[in-house]
Parts: sequence; structure tokens; C-alpha cells
Amino acid sequence: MVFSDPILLGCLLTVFLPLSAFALIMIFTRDNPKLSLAISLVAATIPLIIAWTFFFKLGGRAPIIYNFDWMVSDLVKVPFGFLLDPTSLVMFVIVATISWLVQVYSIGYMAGDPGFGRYYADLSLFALAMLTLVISSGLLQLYIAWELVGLASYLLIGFWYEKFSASEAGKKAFVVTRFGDIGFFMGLVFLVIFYGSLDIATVNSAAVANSMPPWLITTSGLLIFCGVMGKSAQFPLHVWLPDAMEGPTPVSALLHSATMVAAGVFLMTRIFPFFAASATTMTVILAISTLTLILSSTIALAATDIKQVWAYSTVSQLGFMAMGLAAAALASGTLFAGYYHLTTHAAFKALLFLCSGVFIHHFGTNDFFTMATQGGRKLVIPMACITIAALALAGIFPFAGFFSKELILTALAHLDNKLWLVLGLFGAFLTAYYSFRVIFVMLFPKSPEAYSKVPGHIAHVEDEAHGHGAHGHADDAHGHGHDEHHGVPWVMIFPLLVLASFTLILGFCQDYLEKLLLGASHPHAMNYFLLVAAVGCALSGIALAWLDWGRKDAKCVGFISRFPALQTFFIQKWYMDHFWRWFLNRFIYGIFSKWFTYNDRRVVDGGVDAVAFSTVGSGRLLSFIQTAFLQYNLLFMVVVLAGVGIYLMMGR
Amino acid sequence: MTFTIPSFHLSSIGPWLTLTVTAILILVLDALSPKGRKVCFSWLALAGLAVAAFQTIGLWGSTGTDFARMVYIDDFANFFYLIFILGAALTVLISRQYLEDYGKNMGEYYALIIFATVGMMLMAAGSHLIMIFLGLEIMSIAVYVLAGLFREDLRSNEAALKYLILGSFSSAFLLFGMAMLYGASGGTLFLNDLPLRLGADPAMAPLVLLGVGLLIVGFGFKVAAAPFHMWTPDVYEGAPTSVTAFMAVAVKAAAFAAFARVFFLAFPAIKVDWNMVLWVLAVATMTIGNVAAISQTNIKRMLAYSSIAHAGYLLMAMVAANQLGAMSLLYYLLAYTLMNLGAFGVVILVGRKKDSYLNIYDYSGLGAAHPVLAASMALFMFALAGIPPTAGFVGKFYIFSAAIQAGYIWLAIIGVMNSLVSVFYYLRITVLMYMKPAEADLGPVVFSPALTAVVALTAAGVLAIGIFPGCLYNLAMNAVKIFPGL
Repeated sequence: MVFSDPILLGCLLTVFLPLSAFALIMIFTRDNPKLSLAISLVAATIPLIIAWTFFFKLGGRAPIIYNFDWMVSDLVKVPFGFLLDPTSLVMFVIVATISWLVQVYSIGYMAGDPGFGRYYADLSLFALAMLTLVISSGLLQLYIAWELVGLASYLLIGFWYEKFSASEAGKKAFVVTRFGDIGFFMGLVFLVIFYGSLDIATVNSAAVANSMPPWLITTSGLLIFCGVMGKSAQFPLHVWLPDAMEGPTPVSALLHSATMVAAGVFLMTRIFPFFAASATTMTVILAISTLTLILSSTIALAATDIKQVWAYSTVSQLGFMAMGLAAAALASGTLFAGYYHLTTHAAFKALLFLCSGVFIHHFGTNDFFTMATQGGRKLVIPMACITIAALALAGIFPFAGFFSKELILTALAHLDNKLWLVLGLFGAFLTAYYSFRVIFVMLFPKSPEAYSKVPGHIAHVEDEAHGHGAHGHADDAHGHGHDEHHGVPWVMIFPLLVLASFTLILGFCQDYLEKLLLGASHPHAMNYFLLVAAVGCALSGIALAWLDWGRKDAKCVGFISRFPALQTFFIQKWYMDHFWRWFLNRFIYGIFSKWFTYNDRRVVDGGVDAVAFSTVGSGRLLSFIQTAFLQYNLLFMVVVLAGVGIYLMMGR
Repeated sequence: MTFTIPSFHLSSIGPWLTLTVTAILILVLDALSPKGRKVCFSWLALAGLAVAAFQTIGLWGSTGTDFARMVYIDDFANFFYLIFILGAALTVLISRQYLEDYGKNMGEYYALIIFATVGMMLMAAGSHLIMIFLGLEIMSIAVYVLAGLFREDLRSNEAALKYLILGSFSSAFLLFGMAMLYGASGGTLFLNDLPLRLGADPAMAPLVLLGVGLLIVGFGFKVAAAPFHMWTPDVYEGAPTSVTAFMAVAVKAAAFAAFARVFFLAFPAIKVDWNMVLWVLAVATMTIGNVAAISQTNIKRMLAYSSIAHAGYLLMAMVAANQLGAMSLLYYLLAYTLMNLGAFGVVILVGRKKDSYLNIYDYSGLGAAHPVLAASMALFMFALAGIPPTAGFVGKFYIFSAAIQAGYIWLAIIGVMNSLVSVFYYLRITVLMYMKPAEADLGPVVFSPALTAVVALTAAGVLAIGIFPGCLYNLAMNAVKIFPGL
């Protein structure tokens, strides 16, 4: 049955190849980098081929569903399977492609790392989980994959676990997303108890047909959105994502910008009709995502670590996607705007990270001011690619970001309250500013002294941000281990070029994608005011960045330094980390942990001790009974029999 | 005077015949083969078991009785046949290298295992109390001998003698109970006739109850239920490890097969009476087994107490006495066969030559030295503790659901509490394997192909039926349709 159906076979291969790669590498070939790499690449290439084949062959067709009941008993049946519809196919292609590109890129980036095999095993685990998440047909299966993705993320963030900050960041990511996942799980429980099915197609059609009570949609919708908040780093659970940048940069590109963090937004598109059926839920989502957009854009414009900038940019763009979806739902629009932005964002943000990875790899620092002063722009291809990606991020024609941002802003413009639109435009302005702050600093570096006043920037070369043993920077007077003529290995350049070309062409695939996702392409009434406003915001952001950082006699402090209070506020990341620290100390450690610890010490430990002591005591008693003297055993049996007999007789 | 020989079909007892012929063949070959020459008895035994398994599958779905109503032909029996065959086959596989080390790889060992299996089949399919008793004796006598296989070993001797004396005593109880029922029913021991006959005369009620009490003691001894468990630790520790595995798994399954068949078919009318007794027995068995297991440092002794605890869980299914309970009995016994035999396989492997290392501290550092072996052991421990996604979890889930469905909430709660206690000593093995360094170099583990295969197969099985229990659930549910009283 499996082999006669190529589609099912493809789905199964997609899931089981990365799984076997993970198992093989972890158990057998961990210490053999070449072999591990080969296994992992094979297990990434075949799903890539499958993904693109499915995309072109099945794109226009009706959804294909495979459901297998996982039965425990007559009462407990849980469907597991695959759902291939346009929504999942697009994401399938994105995940398979970027994960393949990142695996190729990592050949160069991770070369010589002692944990090379483990790294590829973890990447395979991630591929398994993420691909399963994308094509799963039921919400429970999706949830399981969701948690597995979280596990892979934890392992990869803390990949250099010898480094305290890395292992701490991994823990933070795991715990913070868990807060959201509790909500997600509760939402699923609500759905199961009060509706009875977790099948995605069923839930969606029930929400459309109004056969679900509205309170249930709102409650479980909000609860499920908690999971989205955790995974897609929405306020106030966004704090883990910037810290997650402790992981290797390719991981940041794959997990923490393009695919895994987009899983939250993907979940929203996956059950979009269900979410859209509750206006309350969508309003809450709109508010939270707008706050996220503004918050993270403002933090990004004060950051000095290149990965931090892109991390906060990711948070803000995820917020932007969620805004697009929520606005579309409130104005009875479609999921296309948000989903399209997810697609383009995956391409250009992965590109941004991979380019930054090249610089980080080359200069051994995360501080882009240092990179600039050390001649970052001499790496021509990465510099060109990062500029393209930044243009896309800022939303400049003809790069992909322009088209998708335009769509989201259109969706926002359809709302009655124009405040959302204004905030969206403001976000676009900030985005353009902070991304071009990086680009202008890199392109037109000033003398190191010029940057001395930038808060957060440390003038001298830091030790390399990650724990590569292979790159010996310490003995190099110039602070970078590679000679300029060595250049950058082609395995790192090639993914950049692929992603850059995606960034260039994705914008023109809008109609094709829309037809694919919605079945029909809707002609857009061009809103020229909006067009002008959006491009104006982007251009003014870039212009301001030029004035602050680019031009020859720029002051290089940023306009924000005119408002010291605000600047401190942004540098302190809106004090969100402080808030969580206080919250944890006050409530979690202060109340819950204290009581649980007490309970553990007194009740559980005490109980176990009591059992142990009494066992030792009763052991003495039992050993008396348990003697070699069979007579006692027999006597005991007879006594018990007598007891049973008496009981039975008395019972009558 | 004329005798009429009732018509019968040999095919309905095909598996018994095959196994009996195999065992006799092994004995004859053993006697005829020149001294010192090795005949692969284990392969012969496996072939016989395989044929029997095929015959069982061929019998699947047929219902009725044969041999003058002496034998049931139904899926309940067939299901148990497969459990016994599986248990026996895995035991044969784990025995070869082990016995070779002791110089005891003899034909009679395999013959006895197979004779015992035939006895178990009689117990599972017997429709007459005497048939069940015959089966019990065929099985028990074979196992008494097996327990004393290592004649030179004092502990093995002690185990055999203890088992023999106490076992005979319990058989006597059982027989005595049957005699009571014979009297009370006015002269029949057919399970089908008993319910009607026993209810016919109220004056006979005390006799019936006494008979039931005696049966409980007899069966309770064989399943190692507290307080009739006292033989278990000594016998399990003293007997050869492979025999211990066989006793812990197949003998227990056979005893439960007969126990369930007799009580569910013959005494549903007086359920209230025996239910309460079994309730107490179940709680006592679980608790004593688990608590005593905590303080064990010998792995065989620990597994002995663990098997007592599992008898307690299975008794819970008996107490529930509903369809789900009967089903869970079948499922759990199959799961238990897999996980326990797997664990014993690891015990034999880690014990190296001649059971040299049976202390639980000998497992320290196993995770580093033999990751796959340690992972399998961890899996079996998780399964025995009842942690998903293993078969042990699903089995416990069914049993506890059955108890709750039957209204025994407190029994289920006590069961869950006991599972919690059991996690302590099962996980201790895992902790030792992974978190403690090896205390000394114990020498290499010799992975014989058969033993490795057993560990791999059982590990795969434990996971497979744990993750996909649906198919077995349906099979077992169909098999227990034969109990109309539930």
C-alpha cells in the first residue's frame, strides 16, 4: 500500500529519513565528521526533492489527506497522518530548502568544530520535527512536532554548552516557550473535551460552518495563541529569541529566523479559519503583535551586536506577519498577506543571518562596528547579499519584502481604526532605519574612534563570540584568523547566492503564490496613497540612517541619542528581562518553588525515606518468615486460607 | 458393556501434538546421539514451536469444544497459546549460550521446556477442571525439574526442592477445592455446567465458597500472589536465570489463563464473594512486591519481587471482572512476556559467564560501555515501570481503566501509587547504568547472536505494541467475547 502510493511514500520518507539520520549519527557516527555530514545531507536532500516535486505536482490540486487512527482503545482514538494542501506545501518547500541550504553552509561554518557530528544530528532532528509539524494532519501530532522542534532548538542554542551563556540561553528558550506551550496544550484539551476532534481539516470546517460554540473558539483560540506567542516570540514571551543567538549562526538563520519561529505564524495560517471565527481573539492578537513590532524595532535600533539586530528584527517581522493575519481576519480578508510575508521573510532573513555568519566567521566578532572598521566590505559577495537582504527587509522595490509588506499594510488599511496602519507604517520606518544603520556602518566605515561613543560598542576586539576551537585568534595581532586571500569557502557563498536570488524573484511570484494558496488570484486595487506612504516611510528611514551613520561627517551616535531616557530604555530592552527576572524571583521561586521544595523534602522524600526505613525494618520481620523452614511457609498458607474461608462464609 | 469413543479432531489440539512429538523427538535423539556430540536441540525446539505457532494461527477464529467437551477451541486459548509459544521460544533462545557456559546444554532441558509449554496449553484450553489440573501438573513437574537443573549448585537444589514441596502443597489445595466443587455441583467439573449446577442448591453454598477459596489459594500460589509468594524470591534467585525468566513469564501467564477462565466462566454468579478476596490479594501482592523490591540488590531477586508486583496488577484485572479487564489481562501478559524476557536477556548478558555479576551495582557504567545494551535495559525498565510509549504503559492503562470502569476507584488509586513506588527501583537500574561510573572492569560482554536477537526483538516488540496497541486490542477484545458473564 505504501509503495504503490508515491505521495504517501514521499511523506513517510520526509519524516523517517531525518529521523534515521539523527539516530544513526547519534548512535554510530558521531565521532566521524565526514560520514555524519554525508548521512545528514542525504537525509536533507531527498526531502528537498520531494518538497519541490510535491509543490509543483500537487500545488493546484485538492488537499490530500492521509489519516491513520492511532488507537489505544475504543474510547481513545487519535488521528495521525499527513495533510498536503497549499498551506502546508508552501511551508514544506520553505523548510526543506532553507534547511538544506543551511546544512550546506554549515560545512564551511562548522568545519573543524569538535561537535561537528552532533551538530548535524541535531540539525536532522530539527528537520524531522519541523517537516512533521508542517505536514501533520492533526493538532496533537502538530503539538508533538512542536515540542520536538523546541527540543532541537534547545540542543542547538546550547550547542557550545561549555559556554555558560550558551547553555543558559538554551535553558531560557526552552523554559520561556514552555510557558506558551502550556497554553497551547490547554487549548487543545479544551478542543478535545468540548468539540472532540483535533483533525485540522475538521476543526477548520467546523469553525467556518459555525458548528462550534463561539466561547470555545475564543477560549481555545486565545490559549493556542499562547503557544504562538512562545514559539514566534511575541510580547511578552519574546525574551528568549535574542538570547537564542548564542547558538551557531547557521542555526540562527534556520531555526530562529526563517523556519522554527515562523512555526507560530504557520500555526495561525494552518487553522486560520478557526482563528478568524473569533473577533475577540483576533483583536488581542492584533494588539499584541503591534506592540511586539514597535517594541522590538526600537530595541533593534540601539543594538550593536549584528545578530541581536537581526534577532529583534525577526521578532518585529513575526509581529508584522501576525498583524497581517489578524487584520485580514478582522476585515474578513484572507491569510495570504501574512503567509506571503512569512515566505519572503524566510528568504531574506535567512540571507541576512547567513551573510552575518560569514562576517562573524571571518572577523571573530559579533559587533558590526568592529567588523566595519576591520574591512568588512572587502568581502564583496556577502556584502552585496546582505545589502540586498536589507533592502528587502526595508521594503524597497523590487525586492521581495516590498510586495509582502505592501500587502500587510493594505490589510491594515482595511481596518476601521487607522491607528493600526499608522503603527504599521511607523514599524516600517524603524525597520528601514535599523537595517540600514547596519548596512551604512558596514559599507562606509569610519575610524574606530568615531564609534567610541556608540553605547554598547566595545572598541577593542572581543574574543570570538562562539567557542570554535579551530580558529586560533589569540595569536593573531589583527584579530582575525583567516587571511583575506583565503576568501570565504564556496559552500558558504553558494547558499547566499541562492537565497539572494529568491529574495529577488519571490516578489514577482505573488500572483502565482496567491493562486496556489487561495485558488484564485484577486486583483488588487492599487492604493497609491498607501504605496507612497510605505515607500516614503522606508526611504525616510534609510535617509535618516544615512544622515546618522552613512555620510562622511556623520556623528555616528544615532538620532535616538537626543533622547537619553528613551535610548537607555531601548538599550535595556524595555526592561523586559528585568521584569521576568523579578517575576521569576517573586512568584516562581518565591512562592511555587518554595512550596514545591518543601513538599518534595518533607512529603515525598520523607515518604520515600519512611518506606525505605520501614522496608529495612520489615525486612527483618520478613526474613523471619522467609526462612528456609518450609513449615512456616506452609503454616502461613493454611492460616491465610482459613482467613479467606472465614471471610467467605461470613459474607453469606 | 459397550464403550463409545466420542468423535474428535486431532487438528483441534494440533499445537499440543506437535510440541509433544518435538519433545519426545528431542529426548530420543538425545539418548541416541553419541556422548559429546552436539545436536542442535535448540533449533529443533524452535522449529517445533514455530510449527505450533502456525497451527495456532490456523485455528484462529474457530470456536467450540472437542474431545467430549474436554477442550475448548477458541481465541482465548489461541491467544494464550501464542503467549506461551513466544515465551518458550524466547527462553530457548536465551538459554543456549547460558547453558553452554555451565556445560548443561542438554536435550532434556529443551524437552522439559516444551513439555511445560504443552501443560500450559492444557491449562489455557481445558474445559474441565481435571484437564486444568492435569495441565498444571504437567507444567509444574517440568518446571520443578528445570529449577533444579544445576544439580551441583546448592541454591538451585534449594530452589527446586522448595518449589516442589510448596508447589505440591498448593496443587493439593487446588485439587481439594475441585473436590468440593464436584460435591457441590452434584458431580460435574465441566466449566460450562458449573454455573447452573452450583446455583441449584442453596444448601451447598458453603461448600462452593470453600471450593472457591481453595482454588484461589491454589492459583494464587502459581501466579505468586501475596501471601502465597514466599517461595518466589528464593526460587527465582536459585533457579538458572533462563528458567527464572520462563517461570516469571510463561508459568504466570498459564496460571492466569486458567484462573481467569475458571473464575470468569464458572463463578460469575458469586462474583461479589471472590471479588473482595481478590481485591485484598491484589493490593497485598502489589504492595509487598514493590516495597520488597526496593531493598533488593540482587537483580534476579529484584525481578522476582517485580514479578510479584506484576501479579498484583494482573489480579486487579481479575477483580475488575469486565470485558476490558479480561482484555487487559491478555494484553498485559503479552507485554509482560516481552519486557520481562528482554530484561532477563540483558541480565544474562551482563552476568557474563555463569551468572558472575548479578548485583545491581554491576550495572554501573553500562551506559558508557555498552550504549545499546544499556538503552535496551532502560527501555525494559521503563516498560516494567509503565512509562509511555512502551507496552507496559498501555497495559497498565487498560488495567486501571478496567478497574475504574468496574467502580474500583480505590483499587486503581492504590495501583497507581504502587506504580510510583515501582518507578523507584526500576529507575535505579537506569540511574546506575548512566550516572555512575563502572566500579571495576567486569570483562567483556559476550554478545551471542541468539541473545542479542532476543534483546533486540523484545525491545522492538515492547515499543511496537506500546505505540500501536490498536491491533492487539481488537484481537484480545474478540478473544474475551467468550465470557458471557462479564
